[in-house]
Amino acid sequence: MDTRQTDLQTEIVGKLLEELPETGRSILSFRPGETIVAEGQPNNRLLILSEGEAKLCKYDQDDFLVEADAFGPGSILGLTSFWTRRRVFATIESANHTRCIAITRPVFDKLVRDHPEFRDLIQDLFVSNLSRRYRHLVESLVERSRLERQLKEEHNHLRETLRQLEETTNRLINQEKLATMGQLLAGIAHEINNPVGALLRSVETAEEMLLQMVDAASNEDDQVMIREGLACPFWSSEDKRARMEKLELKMPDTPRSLLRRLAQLSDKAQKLIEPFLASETERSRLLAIYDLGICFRGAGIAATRIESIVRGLKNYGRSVSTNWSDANLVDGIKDTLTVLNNRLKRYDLILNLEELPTVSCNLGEMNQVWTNLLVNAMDATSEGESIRISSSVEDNSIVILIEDGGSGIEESKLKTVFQPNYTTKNQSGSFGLGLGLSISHDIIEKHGGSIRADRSKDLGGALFEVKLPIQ
Amino acid sequence: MSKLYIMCVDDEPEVLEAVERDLAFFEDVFPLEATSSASEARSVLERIEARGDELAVIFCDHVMPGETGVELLEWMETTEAFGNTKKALLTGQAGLDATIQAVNNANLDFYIQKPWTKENLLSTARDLLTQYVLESGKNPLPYMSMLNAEAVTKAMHESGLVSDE
Repeated sequence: MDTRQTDLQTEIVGKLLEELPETGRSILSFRPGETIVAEGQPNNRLLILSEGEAKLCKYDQDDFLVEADAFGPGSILGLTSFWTRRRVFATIESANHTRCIAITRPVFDKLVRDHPEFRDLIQDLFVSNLSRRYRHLVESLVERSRLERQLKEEHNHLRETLRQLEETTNRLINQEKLATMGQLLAGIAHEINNPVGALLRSVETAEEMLLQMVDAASNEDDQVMIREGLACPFWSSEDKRARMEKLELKMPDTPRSLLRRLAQLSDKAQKLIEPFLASETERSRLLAIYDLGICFRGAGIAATRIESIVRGLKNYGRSVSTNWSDANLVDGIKDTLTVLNNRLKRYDLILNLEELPTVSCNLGEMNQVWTNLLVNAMDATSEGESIRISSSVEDNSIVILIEDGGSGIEESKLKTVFQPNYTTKNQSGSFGLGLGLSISHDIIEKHGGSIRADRSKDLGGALFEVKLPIQ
Repeated sequence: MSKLYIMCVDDEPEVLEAVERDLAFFEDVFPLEATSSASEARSVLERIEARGDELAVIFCDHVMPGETGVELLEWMETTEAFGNTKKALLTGQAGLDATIQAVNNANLDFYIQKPWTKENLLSTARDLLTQYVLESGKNPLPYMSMLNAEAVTKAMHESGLVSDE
């Protein structure tokens, strides 16, 4: 409240107390919290606060108590209800110990009529009170407008925070998914690794024993045949067909089953078996020895292949949770290819992987980037079309390019693709949260590198270029 | 007399070699062709057709670089010379969609899951060969050693070619 006005009002009240005839007034005292004027009641007296403070209380629609105004000494209480003869609009409560000068309507009318000095004083007091209330109203409206603006700002801020929270949650879910998958992969890989290791060692040992046995107990032909069988080339189906046709020309009327087995033989073995072709027993025996070699070779190759797949899975799985270390990105890319091989083999995969210097990185996170980019490439590209991965060193940076022959990205969207929730896919995708590129972008930035999208000039689809500095 | 062929298609050399070794069992009656891709399979099929021979049974992998196994089977189904060929998928990873597609559009006759056993592969091949020979109306006798004798006898009884009296 304006102090000057308060002083003025206090002065007027002082004068009033002096001037007013003893009979015309009564002094009322109120305890803290006591109602001075009650809402909804008629009011037939004018109350002038002489000591203490009072507050205007109003319940809003939700029955919530609002303290709408505060009154100090010199304030007139019940002014509007007294003047307009309407019921009291809002309750006034005593805030502390208060004293009021109370003037009843007949007394007020009489004083106004008979005492011009009272009329002047009360007029001043009315004007002063009304102007104070008006100022208070305007100030309240200004304050309300400020609060509304603040509220709106806070609302917007809250909405943004909520969006960020959702994004973070999705990221965490994604991270959790990956971590779970990593653990699963590593676990499965470990389980497979043991029996495969045993299998591989057994095959190796059995092969050694077999050779020892043949060398000790058989003739020289057998020794050659078993070794040729173990080293038997993987004829392509076309080569094999050509070899069969050649043999058929040379030996017409030979059953096809025999031609097939002879076509499988290495040139050296074919030459060796030629003199024995007429003798079914010796021919079959030599072919059986050769085939035994092939079976060992097959078992060894298959077990080695399982071992390398398992190693890829294990590395990929383990890398999900690894920390920063000096690592070779090409190894990580190869592990990722192993994990995605099942889908990737339906595409024409072109690898231009140049060996790279090791860089300090979180290999698991980098693998996540390759996985995201490759899954996107496969989603956007028809099966059978090309996907190309290239690595190179330019100036002081490692550059990894992933290109595809798919639908590509519209020029206007080349930048927005890295924003969260950008997705062209429905939820059926393996990740499908629209976060793949956003997460990739963050990971690359964290590594001090950059990622950009473009159109692949060679393959026609999208191109993603990841650049990482070499320390 | 036209020859009845068996064909296997698989892109992985070790797998193809193993399937080939198993199916070579039928070779002296039903010559075998092993191919490593759908496109190679098509060119071999063209040669078979050009010679006036037939393909009785095909065992085909699904996931391969380039054209998939199901696509190859679909193409065969719409091609006159191979519409009647008995078609089997030998695969570890044809999803439900691809399998439905194969059944609906390629009239798939059999599905063998990898890893296969020799016994299962041979008995399936024997059954499919028998079906092909019987359905094509050929005289089964020259092929008898490699067919399901029970099924052939039953079919011959039903057609009245042979009677118990």
